[in-house]
Amino acid sequence: MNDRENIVVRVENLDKCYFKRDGASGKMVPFYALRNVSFEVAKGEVLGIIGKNGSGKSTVLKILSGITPPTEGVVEIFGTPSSILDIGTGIHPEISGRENVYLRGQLLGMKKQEVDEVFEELVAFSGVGDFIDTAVKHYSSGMFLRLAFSIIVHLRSDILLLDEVLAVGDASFRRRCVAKINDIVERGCTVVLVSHDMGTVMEICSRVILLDKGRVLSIGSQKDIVQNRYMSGSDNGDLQEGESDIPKLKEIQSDEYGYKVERFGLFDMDDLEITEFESADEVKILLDYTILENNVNLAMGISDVMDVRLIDDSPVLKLSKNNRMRSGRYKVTWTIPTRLFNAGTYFIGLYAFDNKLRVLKIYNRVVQFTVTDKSVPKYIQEFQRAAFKVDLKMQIQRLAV
Amino acid sequence: MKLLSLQEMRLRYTKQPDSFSAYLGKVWDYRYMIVVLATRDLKIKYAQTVLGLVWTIIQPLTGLAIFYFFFHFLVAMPKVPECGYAVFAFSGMTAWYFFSYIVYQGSNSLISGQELSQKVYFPRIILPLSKVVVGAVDLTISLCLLMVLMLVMNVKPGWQILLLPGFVAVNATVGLSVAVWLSALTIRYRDLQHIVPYIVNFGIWLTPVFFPTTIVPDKLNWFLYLNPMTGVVEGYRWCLWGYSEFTWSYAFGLILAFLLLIAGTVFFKRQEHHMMDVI
Repeated sequence: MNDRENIVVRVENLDKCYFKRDGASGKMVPFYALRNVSFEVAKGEVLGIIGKNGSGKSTVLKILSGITPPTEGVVEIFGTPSSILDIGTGIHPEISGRENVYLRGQLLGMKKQEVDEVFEELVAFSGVGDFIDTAVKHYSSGMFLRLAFSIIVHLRSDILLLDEVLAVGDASFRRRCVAKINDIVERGCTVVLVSHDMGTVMEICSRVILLDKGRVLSIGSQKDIVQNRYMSGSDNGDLQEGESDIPKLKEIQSDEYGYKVERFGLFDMDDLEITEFESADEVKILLDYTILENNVNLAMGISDVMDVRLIDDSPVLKLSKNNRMRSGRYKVTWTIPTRLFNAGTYFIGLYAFDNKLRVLKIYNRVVQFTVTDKSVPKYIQEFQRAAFKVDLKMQIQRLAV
Repeated sequence: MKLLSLQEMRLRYTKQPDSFSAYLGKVWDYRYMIVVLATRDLKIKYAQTVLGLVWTIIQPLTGLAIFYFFFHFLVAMPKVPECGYAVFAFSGMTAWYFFSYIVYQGSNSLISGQELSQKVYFPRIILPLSKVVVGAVDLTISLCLLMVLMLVMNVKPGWQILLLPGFVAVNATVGLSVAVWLSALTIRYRDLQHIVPYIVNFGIWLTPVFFPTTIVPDKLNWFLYLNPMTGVVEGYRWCLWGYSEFTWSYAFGLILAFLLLIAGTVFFKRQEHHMMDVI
């Protein structure tokens, strides 16, 4: 990173100021979309820029691609960049896929011969097949996106600036796209990408910048940042400042749905409430609640930062017949086995359902906890994606020297 | 994949706009874009039309038929040269239509092209420039029609026809000078979109397209030559079929248009820097 020869994008103290009309006075007031943003991108790096809506992610890319000038600061780019700020720009519905491939390729800076060279491969990748000579307006939306994306990944540039363009198509096409991006990067291309899609960011970015209200909140490894972002609780960009999608304990304690939670949280063996523990320690989840109506049940679930459910369990599974628990006060303790979690951030949620297993209420992320792991070096933790430590039976044989 | 060495290309963006020479350099670097955009326009223009290019032939011919009917058949235009009214009017119309295409499409090009320019970088003056290329395609077809008409009317071109490309260039310059100014101004003042039809629709009557300059009283003749398009129209006629004499009054329009174009480009460049935040 310190090798200055290898820097292909340098951004220094970038400010971008727009003017917006103030509703009350009718005057134009300045509004900073970016404030003092600095970062560098090295050759072959995949840099992800994440942040809530309106954090300035797209503005950074607009400035990097030269579409709009910075208000203050300097951007330097060494190499030939291609900026794809929108998947379908320049693709015209009235003309055929073939003509569009040539036109868009050329709009993005390719020569006609260069398009010739990759044309077959490009069409094969898109899976558009025979439809290549059909007007694009007759394409299904999936075909359109696949064709548009194929053009992008077959571009010949050494810096790709991508704005939210990876979240396209079905799952299998998306996987191929990610593989293709990795392929391009291996060949020495540098990628700067803006994305909402944490999956993509986790998968392909080597470094991540987190923007908030136009400022750089942090720069770091993707795992750190993605987890950091979720720690703030409010991942949903539509939420206003101060709001949070973490439910308040008070809200959970309401008896509106026929139950009342007295206590819910993570505790160590001495019954002290905790939010962080070492993977080797034994801890427990405690749920103390009252069922007011006979047909209400509760369940607990542990999820990762991407809200993927890892574990769920409900007392109803152990106690009752016919999915029914009788009213009364219950105290449930789940013990988390030692050395179960890898280091990372996790959430415990609470779910209420009736005896026909219909969901009454979902509270994701009621409790947040962090697992630390001294047994694994920090630099390995950065690359760990799995939530659980499972000791698989592993055999290693050296077959040749 | 061939990768350029890092030193080969270096882009730098600051709040400072490019210098004028750097800007012209960029326009040169992106000159391929003029053709790409023009090709795109042409493809879109004729996509899913049954008659395709035939429309480019039908349009000027209908225009000619209408004006021939009014100014020759109903009201006989005086002092029409020997070649006949059809050749006379059509050579004027050819020049005028090229001009009006550039003005119409060029002045609107920044707004109609914003879908692209918001997402892809290129010097924005490429947009009006590409409209000149599209217009030139129509012009070529129109000139071919004119040749056929001259053949039918037995009008022979002289050696001056070799100078026609020069007059076409002047024609484009005049159109472009108006288009560059209007397009840059339209970004902030959308009102100007409404002015364009006036320029085109009234301008044709201030230009000797349907009438010879000789029917205008001498006292007012100088007024006609203030209009750069007068020189262009007369010039077309002179080199196509030897109408009247070559006069240096053609040059006045050229100089005016050229100065306007340079000033327009400077203005355009100044506007361009913040264009994408305003449009």
